[in-house]
Amino acid sequence: MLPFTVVLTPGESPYRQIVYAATKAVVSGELPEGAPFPSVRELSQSLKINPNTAHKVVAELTRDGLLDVLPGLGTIVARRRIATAAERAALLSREVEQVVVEAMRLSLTEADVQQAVADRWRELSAPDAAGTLLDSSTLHGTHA
Amino acid sequence: MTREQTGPTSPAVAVHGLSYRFGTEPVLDRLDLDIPQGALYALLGANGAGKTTLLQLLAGARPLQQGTVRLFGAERHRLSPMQRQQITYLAEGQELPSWMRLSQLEAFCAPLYPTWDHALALTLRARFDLDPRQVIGKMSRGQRMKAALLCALAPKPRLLIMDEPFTGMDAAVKDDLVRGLLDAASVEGATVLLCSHDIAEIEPLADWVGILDRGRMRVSMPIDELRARYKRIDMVTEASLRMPEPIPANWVSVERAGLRLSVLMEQTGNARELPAPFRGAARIDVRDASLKELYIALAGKAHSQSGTEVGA
Repeated sequence: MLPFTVVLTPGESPYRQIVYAATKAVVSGELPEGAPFPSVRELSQSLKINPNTAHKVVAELTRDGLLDVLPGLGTIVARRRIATAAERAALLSREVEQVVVEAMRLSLTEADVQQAVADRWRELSAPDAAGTLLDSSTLHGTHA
Repeated sequence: MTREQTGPTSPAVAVHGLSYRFGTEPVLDRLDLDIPQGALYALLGANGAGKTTLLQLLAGARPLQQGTVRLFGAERHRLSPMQRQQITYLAEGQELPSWMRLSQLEAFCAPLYPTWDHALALTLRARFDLDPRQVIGKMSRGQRMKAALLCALAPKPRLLIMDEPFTGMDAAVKDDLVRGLLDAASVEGATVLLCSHDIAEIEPLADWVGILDRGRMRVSMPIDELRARYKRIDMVTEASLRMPEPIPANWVSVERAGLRLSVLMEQTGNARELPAPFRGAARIDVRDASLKELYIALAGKAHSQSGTEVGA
């Protein structure tokens, strides 16, 4: 099993999807600094992707400074430099795009969307939000 | 590596002007195909497109009628025994001697290949959960397929040719087969050529893709290049909009429903340039075409005259 979540959507470039998922996992702390990162072979075998694709993923993440290669030992999550706001924002670009597209389809205004985001933000950052999230995940049986 | 190298840079497979007929029925029509060494090449095509015939011709399981087939730079019928031993072929529903035990099958195959790797055979047995004492005739379909794959992988072939290896296999068996295949493909320079109907399974595996249609290759290129080259463009247009006439040559398929217009196009030069009437379209969404939609547009055309239905 891989230490981060990737669910490959058929039809989209697996390379881009995996780089995106791994970057998110590192930035969010799901993959902490110093944690071992799967080898090319593990990535290829777990995700059933071409070994060259797996190799490109590791190369790209290393180039981005997210992974460190320890010769002979493998690859680990690099010491985290502070990601710029722009870098972190880039990780949301897909979701933001989806929201904007849907909003346009529904003829909502930019203000409508901002209001909806603000409302949701308030809901989730309210003191009991953590409990609510936990409850809903329990309901979905994620511990099963 | 002590393996004999024949033209280390020549393509694993080079086919030129290959034609084949069953009686008067043409199957392959002056087909050209190049597969570089180290590729995991997925050959796609509808039933009857000629995939199996092509693979049989490459594997030497069928005599050539017209055209040339070179493997690692040498003409197929002039391969040395040594070169032939570096090529393994797994037919669809590969027949195995049903009375043999797996251990006997391995003992039978091993001397045929100087590169047979006993340690690898043991690893594969464990990974495929196969019992060497089991009689092949009493194996399940999935087990038989795994036994056949074991015998095709243990010689560490430079070229592995597989015809529909996943057809009719349950998900768990398919997983095992795919992983065995990926291991074989990750050997430096090893080339894998397989044909399959299962596009979703194949898409992340392959790094080269070819689409065979009516005896010819419609597309043959690295999958990354294919992704970069073909785009799906969805737009919302005005009801009064007239379609360009003639349809631009780089439009592979076009569908229109209500205000929605969806074009699968090959990017040429300054890519996203749309014909003038579309430039004012309300919303334009551009994304890479998936292998599935491309396959349906290119290989499905001949077989369904009506517009192609493309799932999102």
